[in-house]
Amino acid sequence: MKSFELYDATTVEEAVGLLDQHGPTSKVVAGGTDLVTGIMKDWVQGPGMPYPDVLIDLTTISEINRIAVEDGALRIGAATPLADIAESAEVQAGWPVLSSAAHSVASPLIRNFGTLGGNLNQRPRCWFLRGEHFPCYKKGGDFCFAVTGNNRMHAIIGGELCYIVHPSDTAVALLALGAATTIAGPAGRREVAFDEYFVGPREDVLRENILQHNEVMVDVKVPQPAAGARMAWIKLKDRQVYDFALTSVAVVASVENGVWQDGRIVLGGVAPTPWRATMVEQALAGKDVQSAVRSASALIRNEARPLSLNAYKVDIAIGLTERAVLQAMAA
Amino acid sequence: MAPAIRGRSSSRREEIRSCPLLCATAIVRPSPLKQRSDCAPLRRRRPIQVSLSLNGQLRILDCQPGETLLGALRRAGLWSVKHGCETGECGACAVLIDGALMPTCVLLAGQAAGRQVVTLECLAPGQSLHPLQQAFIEVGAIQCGYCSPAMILAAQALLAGNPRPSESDVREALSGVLCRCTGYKKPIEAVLRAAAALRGEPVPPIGGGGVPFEAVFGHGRDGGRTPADLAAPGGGPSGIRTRPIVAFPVTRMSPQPETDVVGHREPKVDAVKLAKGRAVFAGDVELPGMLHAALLTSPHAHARIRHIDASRARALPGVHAVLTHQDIPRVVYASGGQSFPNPPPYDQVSLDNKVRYAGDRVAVVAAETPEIAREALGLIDVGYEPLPAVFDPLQAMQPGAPRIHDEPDAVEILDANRNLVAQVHASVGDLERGLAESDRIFERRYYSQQVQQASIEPHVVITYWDEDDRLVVRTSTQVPFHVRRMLAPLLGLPVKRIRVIKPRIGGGFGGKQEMLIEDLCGHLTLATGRPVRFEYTREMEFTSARSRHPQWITYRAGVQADGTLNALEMCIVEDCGAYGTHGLTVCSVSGLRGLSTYRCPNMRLHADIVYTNKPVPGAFRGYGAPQALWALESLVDEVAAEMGFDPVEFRLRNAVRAGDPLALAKALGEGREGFEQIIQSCGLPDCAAQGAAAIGWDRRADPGWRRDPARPHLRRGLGMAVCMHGTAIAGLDMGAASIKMNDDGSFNLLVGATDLGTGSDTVLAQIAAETLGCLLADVVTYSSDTDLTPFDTGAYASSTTYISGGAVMKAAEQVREKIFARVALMLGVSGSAQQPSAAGMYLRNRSVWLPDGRSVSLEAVALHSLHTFDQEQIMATASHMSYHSPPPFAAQFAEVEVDTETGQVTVTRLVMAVDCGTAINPQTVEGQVEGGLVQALGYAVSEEMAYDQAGCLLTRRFGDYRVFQADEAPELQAILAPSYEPSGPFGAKAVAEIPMDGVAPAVANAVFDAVGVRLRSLPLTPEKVWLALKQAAVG
Repeated sequence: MKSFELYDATTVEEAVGLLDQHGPTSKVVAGGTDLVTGIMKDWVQGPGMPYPDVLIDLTTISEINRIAVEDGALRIGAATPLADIAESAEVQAGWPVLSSAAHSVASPLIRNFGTLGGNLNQRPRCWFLRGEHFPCYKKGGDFCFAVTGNNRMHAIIGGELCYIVHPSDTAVALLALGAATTIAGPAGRREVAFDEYFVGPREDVLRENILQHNEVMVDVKVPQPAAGARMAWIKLKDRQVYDFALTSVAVVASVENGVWQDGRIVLGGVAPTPWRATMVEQALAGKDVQSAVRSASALIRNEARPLSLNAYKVDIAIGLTERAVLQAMAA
Repeated sequence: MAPAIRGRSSSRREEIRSCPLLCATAIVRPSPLKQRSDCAPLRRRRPIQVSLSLNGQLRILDCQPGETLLGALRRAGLWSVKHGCETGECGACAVLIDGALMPTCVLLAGQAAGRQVVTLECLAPGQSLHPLQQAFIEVGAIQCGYCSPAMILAAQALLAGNPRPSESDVREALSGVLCRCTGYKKPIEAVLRAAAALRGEPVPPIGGGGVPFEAVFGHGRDGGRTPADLAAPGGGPSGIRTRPIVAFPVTRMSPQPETDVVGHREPKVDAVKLAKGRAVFAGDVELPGMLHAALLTSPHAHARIRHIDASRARALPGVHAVLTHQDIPRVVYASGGQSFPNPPPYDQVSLDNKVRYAGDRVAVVAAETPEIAREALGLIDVGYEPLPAVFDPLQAMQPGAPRIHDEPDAVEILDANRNLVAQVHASVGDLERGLAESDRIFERRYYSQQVQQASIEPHVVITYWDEDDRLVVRTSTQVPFHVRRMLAPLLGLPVKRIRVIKPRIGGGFGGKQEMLIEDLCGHLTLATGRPVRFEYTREMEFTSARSRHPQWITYRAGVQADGTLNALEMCIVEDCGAYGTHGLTVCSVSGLRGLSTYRCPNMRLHADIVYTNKPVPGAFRGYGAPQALWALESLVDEVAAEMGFDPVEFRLRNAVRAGDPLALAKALGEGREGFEQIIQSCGLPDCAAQGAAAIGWDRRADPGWRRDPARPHLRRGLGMAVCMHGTAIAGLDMGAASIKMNDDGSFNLLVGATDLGTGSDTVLAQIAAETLGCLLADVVTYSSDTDLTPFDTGAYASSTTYISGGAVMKAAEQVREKIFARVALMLGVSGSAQQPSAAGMYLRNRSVWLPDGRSVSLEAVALHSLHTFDQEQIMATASHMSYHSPPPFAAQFAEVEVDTETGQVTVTRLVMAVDCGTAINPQTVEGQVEGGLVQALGYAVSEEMAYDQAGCLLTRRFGDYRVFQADEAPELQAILAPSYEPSGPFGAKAVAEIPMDGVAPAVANAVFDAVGVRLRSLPLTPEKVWLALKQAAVG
């Protein structure tokens, strides 16, 4: 690891000021599981991905390490460890899909200090991006090595130029819950729905979200689910645990008498952003879920553009979507 | 849901930050406000001071901003905090921070400011043991002990918040700490046992040495063993799902005299220091002036180094040496740690002007800090001329393929133009005629992938000149004596000027049966005169260490209608990677194992061992057998299924039995001719019967069991495989031992044998104690120091108990004779001094007993011999070798659930019944079996080294490589079904490697049983199973 300066920030505004002052080679760090161990120790860098020389520690800011329920809505600070979210009785009771997603991340050790903000904003796990010797698009290069290389883990939907899959489990759950995030920047704070937060390679291949280099994620606000809302979380990994998702599905839905009223179905591990399966949601709307779910889930096939080695993920995505919807019905 | 294992509260942290003592003395990190005024030009490597509570005391650590907490803690002398990776994924470096378990390799030292950090060092003061440590020792949860500090801290964090954890709570709590030795079963058992003890509940006794502290340090007592313990060799807390079953004795072929130490569940002799996290591993020392090495590796799979200029790197302040191929003599060698002369080819030099795989050595640096060394690597200018590369061994053999070894000085490559390292041929009977006369012929091809040993302790070596100008090599190796001999010509030093010390080893699994980095570290000490530490990163473990040889195996089998095997042909293509180390001998073992389990009159082997531009395979537990038995036991299952035979009956009908010869043993030796073998002991039928009963083999007939109404996408299945391995390399392996008697009647046992976490020091001490009639605690074992202990070939080929144990037994018998002679002298027993054994004396309970009932204590014997009359040191040295390699046998069973929609295979249970002869220590045998089963399961379903098209390794961290962890390991059951091997010490055979052999085919056969598809390529990932299901549905 190259050397760098380390700053303690005591307020979010202080952190923003430091970022603004030091420019794109300054980064915030909380748990450090991705930035320190992944990006910096592996010296992952390129013209589009400068190596950090200033780190600003966010774990010293108490404002963003908390879980609170305000007016029925859940507010979680960005520097809250994933273990706290997974173990929170309030989250388990009201937003079980989020606590399940948080619990499915990595190992207990990493959940103890890996934070929500870190999980949402980590860089993709693509082994070409992470390899020192692959100057890919995301690093400012001019090639996607997944197109011709070992792409069994890569995107089947929404890839263009770059075929990463978004690595975050909590992002999938939060998008399904219709959550929003507060972002602090030099001009103050703003709230952005997760619907608008993630950025695919088509828009900007160098980033996965709208967060600018001088902005800090402050917290996440999750609305109170509709009364009787049903939720489900499924994550398939190559192994049973400790892995990033091959495919994950979060379902949050309102159902009456077996008929789909409203809801969101979001898939992880299939696209460069958490991917909302709106065509499945629409096909279920107003229908008896048990009878409609199979054909509705199969619509995912129309969206899929698999690469040479990952066509299996299409069927897995369809099968898991069906299973997750049925699991939510049974919840 | 997750158990409450965190104790972190922000208030505690606030407390310490606002602690007046801390504020008065602490230099808090540069505050951002202060920084703003003067930070315009960034100053690099500005040291910071981090104040924290460390094991209850306020400490201020001087750190670099980029330094991890792991590095800072180890520099502060907290050696229990281990380095296993750099990504927080192995957990070996975990400590408690504000009560929560966190890996320190990913935390910046600066981030620990103001926090409460607790390491294992403060768990129990002095020589005392915490109940967790005691339980880990008692149940045998410690093998190599490298992950034990983190495991014990993880358990401590769990029990602090949950004094009554369930088994799944424990599995979850331990799941962040990878263990490659135990399969997690005994650590889980230990935590549950400690939890019960801490709740004040009685815990069941474990046969063996009782309270370990007293067993180790107590004096003049009987070791705490009760008659009840002696009567019950089983044990372990009841009610635990993973409880071991020990069936004693079932198929003993000759009566075994009653034993006091051998055959008992003795705690490991090195367990206390490992449980306490003491500085016992190779890297756990800091020497004055020590430099740190870093290795520059090739980004290209195949390239010539046209020019290399290290002047900028040498000019970097803090750099003391940079070595390239221009700086050291060119000496060809073979890096495998094997007996002299090393099997061919000799195709390596320490640093070359050509690189043959991405990860190959280019240059090595020694600098004052690891960070400077790493920075210097970036300043070495290398001009590569990339060459065409080849990654498929079949292509590599074709005309016109890139020639990987074109250097003129390589020795004994069979055909470098075709990238052929070697070929192996062997046959018995007439294969073609046998096939022609068979009723059915089956031809199948199987692939086994490249996997990594992944011991949690990386390769680490420290070299320095001692006061006599001899080079000391403190290294994590399985083969200290081979390292000394092989190092000498490379460094230009005579063997007598090299001393190799093997401290405790954090697992090896064959990866350390290699002289991997000792040469470069030695060269750096030669160049600088300074002590040098060279430690691999986890990434380098994957890219630049060793692995298992991938093989494509094609079998042709001729079978008669009655199910008799009549002809068997095995063709192997072995991917040897860029260098030939172990390539020939691994492949010979594959052939021997693949053509020995079953009786067959007509057999033929053909093997091609081929270079490719890939990272180099080497020795890995099983050594060719896991590849061969993956293919053989899949094939046999296919034949049985297609011909309508029960898979178990079909196997036993054709399997070898006691009295049978091993037809190919003479042809397939260790790179040379071997020796005829006749099987003298075989418990295979008993293994199959006990294993089948344990797994519930009858359920295969129950369609209702196969389905789960609540989870309609699941199908269950059962599969099995039988295994036969070897014990040591016949006529080649040799071990030696010295025993000397001390004033108090205790003994020093000095062995060259290399305990790498398996427990061999304990097993060897048990053999000595049994023979000398004393307690295990009376034998002080010291192993593997080329200056102080006699020779041993090393820890490989499942040889230590059998070969080194034989040496210990011989030495102990000689000492016993001298003790008898001394007693005869002391008591004036006439005429017996020349033939003391004939006088009917025997040793037991620390005394020599005469037929007339008189006895003399060992202490009295010792004092008499050392001080009283006709003084002599009672001692003996003996060595042992064997022309036998008696095979251990096993039956392995797997129960699986297959998700028919996703293809995911979940192995829910593994059972292994093993005939390893007499289990000298049933607890360590179970440990070998349980750990081996889980390691083999990774090979079966999840582990694989994956590459991009340019031969660049993609799986460079544990996150991508996928080693099983505690909460995903299946239920394990080890069943001991011993026979009595007449050629082994106390009837013992091997057990270390055989657990690796049959799990992959057992799981694949279970998948077939569940869903009816055959998979012939490892690992059995969801994608492959899904694809096979898809094709079956279409077809």
